Amino acid sequence: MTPQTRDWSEELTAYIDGELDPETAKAVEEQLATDVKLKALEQQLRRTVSLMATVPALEPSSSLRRSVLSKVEAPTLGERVRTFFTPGRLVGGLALASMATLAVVVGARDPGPVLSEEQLFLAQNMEVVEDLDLLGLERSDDFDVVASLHELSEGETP
Amino acid sequence: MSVPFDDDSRLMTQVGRGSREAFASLFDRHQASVVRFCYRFVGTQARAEELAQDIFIKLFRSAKSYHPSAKFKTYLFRIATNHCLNEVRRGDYKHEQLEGATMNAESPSVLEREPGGESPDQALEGRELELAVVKAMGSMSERERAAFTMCRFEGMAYRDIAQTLSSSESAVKSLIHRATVQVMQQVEALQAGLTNSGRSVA
Repeated sequence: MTPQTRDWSEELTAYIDGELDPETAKAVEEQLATDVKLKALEQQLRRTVSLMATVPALEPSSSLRRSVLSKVEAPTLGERVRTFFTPGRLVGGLALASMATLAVVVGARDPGPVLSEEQLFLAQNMEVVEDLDLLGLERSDDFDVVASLHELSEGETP
Repeated sequence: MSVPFDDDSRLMTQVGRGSREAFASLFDRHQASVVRFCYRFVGTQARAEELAQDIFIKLFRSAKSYHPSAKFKTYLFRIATNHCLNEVRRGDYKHEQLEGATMNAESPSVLEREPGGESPDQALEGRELELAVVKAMGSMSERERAAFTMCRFEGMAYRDIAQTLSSSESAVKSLIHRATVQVMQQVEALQAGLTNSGRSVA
């Protein structure tokens, strides 16, 4: 592309911003010296660029700072977990968990006291046994009599 | 690529080690830039601040995996650009942009005046200029808008903008040129309108 056919206007903004390499900047200056339209455009662009420095600046509200900093200062879930599980708590918790596990395991292995058939019979017929005592009876034959009386009295009860 | 380990990069590394103070320093340094950048995409301060909040939270969460392979500002603006482009693609902000432009023209609290103080005429010119910029940006592509904002309002070099946009410097040069021409045309239209209405902007 020759200097005559090249669109130098494309280079003007970068030229004004000082962003062209020295060689291209020099070529632009040579064109500006001879091209009146290009020079006029360069002046308009330069004025626009300098005007941008006078555009009123937006100032953030003070609530933004409070809002952002309060969000980052709030501990994350991971931090809360780490804070909660201090070494002391962790050891204590592990000890408690071990004890609970042990209790469950031992409980599962030990079914508890086993009742003899006699004890079981007594437990099931506690009312009859109490009546035997009440009547002053001691023999086992009397048991059937008292049990029958018991059944009769229960049948009479409305 | 080797880059100088600047203060921001050092702070960001500290953030990665869990320092909230370092994050607060980074936030204070860059919050205005990020809010202004977001504002150019969504057109209202409230929405821009919501986006900025998301961006800083993302920055905080990414700190552990941060490696200073580029300038910190380039890294920050890459997060900001991706977030803004995703948001703009998700929703229709064109209406908000016009709404924001109108609101700004009527609301001096949104567009803060320079500390030195301006005369009412100068302040009005500033807001009219802002309107011209907003109008021009409405007709820009998303990448032109991002490149223009980073160049004109953040003073970033073409090379850094190219890194932010994952693009070539040559492509960025074209984006910025086209965007600047569009703003120039809007400014000219503004000046022509003011001249026709009997006011001078000289």
